[in-house]
Amino acid sequence: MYENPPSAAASAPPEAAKRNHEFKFTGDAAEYFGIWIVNLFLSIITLGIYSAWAKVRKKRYFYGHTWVAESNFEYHGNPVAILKGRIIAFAALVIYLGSGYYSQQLALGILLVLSLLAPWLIARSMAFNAINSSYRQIRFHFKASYQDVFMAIWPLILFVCVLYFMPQFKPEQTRMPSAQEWATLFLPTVIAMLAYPYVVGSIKRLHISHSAYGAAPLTFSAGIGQFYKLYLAALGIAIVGILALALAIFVLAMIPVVGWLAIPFAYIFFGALLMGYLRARVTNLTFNSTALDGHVALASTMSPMRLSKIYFVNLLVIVFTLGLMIPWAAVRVARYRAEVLALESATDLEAFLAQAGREVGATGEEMGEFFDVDLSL
Amino acid sequence: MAGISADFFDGRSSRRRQVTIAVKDGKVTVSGDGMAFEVPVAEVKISARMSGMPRRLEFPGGAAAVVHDNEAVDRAFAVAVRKTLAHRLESHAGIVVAALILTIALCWSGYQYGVPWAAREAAMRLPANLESSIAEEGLKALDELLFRPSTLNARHRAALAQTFAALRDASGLPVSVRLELRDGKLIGANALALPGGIVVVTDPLARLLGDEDQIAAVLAHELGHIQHRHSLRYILQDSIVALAAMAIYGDASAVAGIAATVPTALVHARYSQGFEREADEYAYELLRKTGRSPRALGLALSALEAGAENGGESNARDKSDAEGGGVNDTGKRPRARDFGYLSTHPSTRERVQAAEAAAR
Ligand SMILES: [Zn+2]
Repeated sequence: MYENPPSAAASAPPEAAKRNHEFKFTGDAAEYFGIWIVNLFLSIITLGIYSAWAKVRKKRYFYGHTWVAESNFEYHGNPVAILKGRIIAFAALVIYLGSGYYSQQLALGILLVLSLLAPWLIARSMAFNAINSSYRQIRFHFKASYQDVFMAIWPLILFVCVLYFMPQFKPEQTRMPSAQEWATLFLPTVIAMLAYPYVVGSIKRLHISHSAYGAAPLTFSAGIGQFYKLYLAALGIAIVGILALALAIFVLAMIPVVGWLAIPFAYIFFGALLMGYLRARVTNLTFNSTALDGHVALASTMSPMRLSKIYFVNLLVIVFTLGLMIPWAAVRVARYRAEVLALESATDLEAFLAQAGREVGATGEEMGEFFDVDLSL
Repeated sequence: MAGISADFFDGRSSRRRQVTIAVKDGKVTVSGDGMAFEVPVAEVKISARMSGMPRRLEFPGGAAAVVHDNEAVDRAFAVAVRKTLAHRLESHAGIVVAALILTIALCWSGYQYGVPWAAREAAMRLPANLESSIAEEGLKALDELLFRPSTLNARHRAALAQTFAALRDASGLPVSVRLELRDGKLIGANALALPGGIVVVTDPLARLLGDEDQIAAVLAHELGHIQHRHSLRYILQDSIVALAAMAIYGDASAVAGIAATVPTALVHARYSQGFEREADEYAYELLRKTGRSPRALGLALSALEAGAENGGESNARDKSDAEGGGVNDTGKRPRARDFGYLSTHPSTRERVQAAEAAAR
């Protein structure tokens, strides 16, 4: 068919020497609006079936407009696989909601079964997304066993188990609940709060340390403790923020009309602040702990304040346009995320890429011959 | 014809090569950066066009060329219109505007007519005994949480039972539909229709409405909720709206997810007004059928409101929600205008006027 040059390494190395390569997002809000509204319209008139194709187009747009070192990313997901995943997710949701209508215990039992299946589904979904992402015609890979994922999310499964096996406790008006009853009442919440940073951190670690770009493995160096530190700081911000919010609402409530109208803005402001802080810190920690084959590192310098500001404006604009400005908001976030992300290469990146990005043949399992799902909605 | 410049990747390494592509006599020639090869046009897979993104030409064996000039690709390879259809739709200003208008129209009419219609059709097709277990469970939970046994005397209770039985028989509802009397201090003068056919009337309501016709009017309204399966329809409507909001907004980001909860709350209040009207209309019909005037419902509502304003204890509020222990204003002593009733129901004056109109 065609002849590959005998030795790629022998040809002259590109002039670009050791330097940082910044990411760039070239998407445009007006252009994406066209894609978004056509996607939405076709999804509605096909009763949701087109949504799988819509998702592929959306992902292609965001991948394709993300550039680094003069090449863009590509998304290759098969809409039919995504449709299958969505039908499964939809059926599970309907069964869960429907059973909740009959009995809470039955619904919890179904939730328990689903959460025991979750590690397997998560592994399949991550593998699907990896194999369908490429850069310079080299695909990403993800491979993790049931146990690998289970070890990352076990607190979530424990949480559902506690809900399921916990004695049913109904508060009565006549007497104060006993200490044991208080304990069972708050146990699930306590488990959830204590375990949340662990689950977030270990899912990031699982995702990255089990991924590879072609034959080059990705590594993740952050410890779970760093995620706890970050969420502890967020908790501090949340406590101070809630007190400030309460005070603000108290003051605003005393100013007729203008003050009352301002209360929802106070809520949005607080929500955007907390979410901006968390997202920026988690993103920075995750990317800054990620390296490719030990040679190329990612560097993210996202500012919590900038991101909070973007979220605040986005939320306001989305609320006031009843969702019509969602494409604009999504493009704004993508642009900022790319703006603050860079590849740092210790040696010449082009030379490294020429060597490192060897493609390995996708295994049958990865190609989804058996069961192709994408559950990331 | 001049060649098209492209980035070439062999699919084995991520090395980028700058090449030129030419199409001639059914063959594609790729040359440059120390390489040259030729493939039949038919074996080249061209990615679907999308916005200004570069086009990918995939060659057999996993190599690909990335081309920035989309027009040149479409021309040189004579790409079929079908393959660029989605792109044409998405980038055509007129079509985008049309899609926008049609989407807004569809969302509006779906919210106005589609969701209530779908929920009604589904509810009427679901088996009747689906709800009965919920009613029993719900009553048990309410008994534990806030009801006490009724303290009405035996004669009063028998009279109520008789009125109820007459209404039920006239309505054609099954005999399994029954009346329960409870003393529910915390919810004041109240009547509830539990899904699956249990009507609960509280002692304060029974005492406040001494007139038999007025009690009958309230009971008929609650039977309307049961006949039209409002609690099941509530659940179905909420689920449909939640799913739709998830589909539309959830695709965007978590930020938009928060915004998605706003319309859901608005929709809920709106639909509940429709249900109250439907139950009222059912009540007029049933009152006429049993030889009473629809005016009785208006009188009952006025009496309840007056009672609520005087007492503060009695809260004229009826609930048709299915959630077992879901009566949520325990402990509060709301005055009639403060909470749910007037915000989620048509105003009492409106309902009284409607009852007067129906009586004519
Ligand atoms: Zn009602």
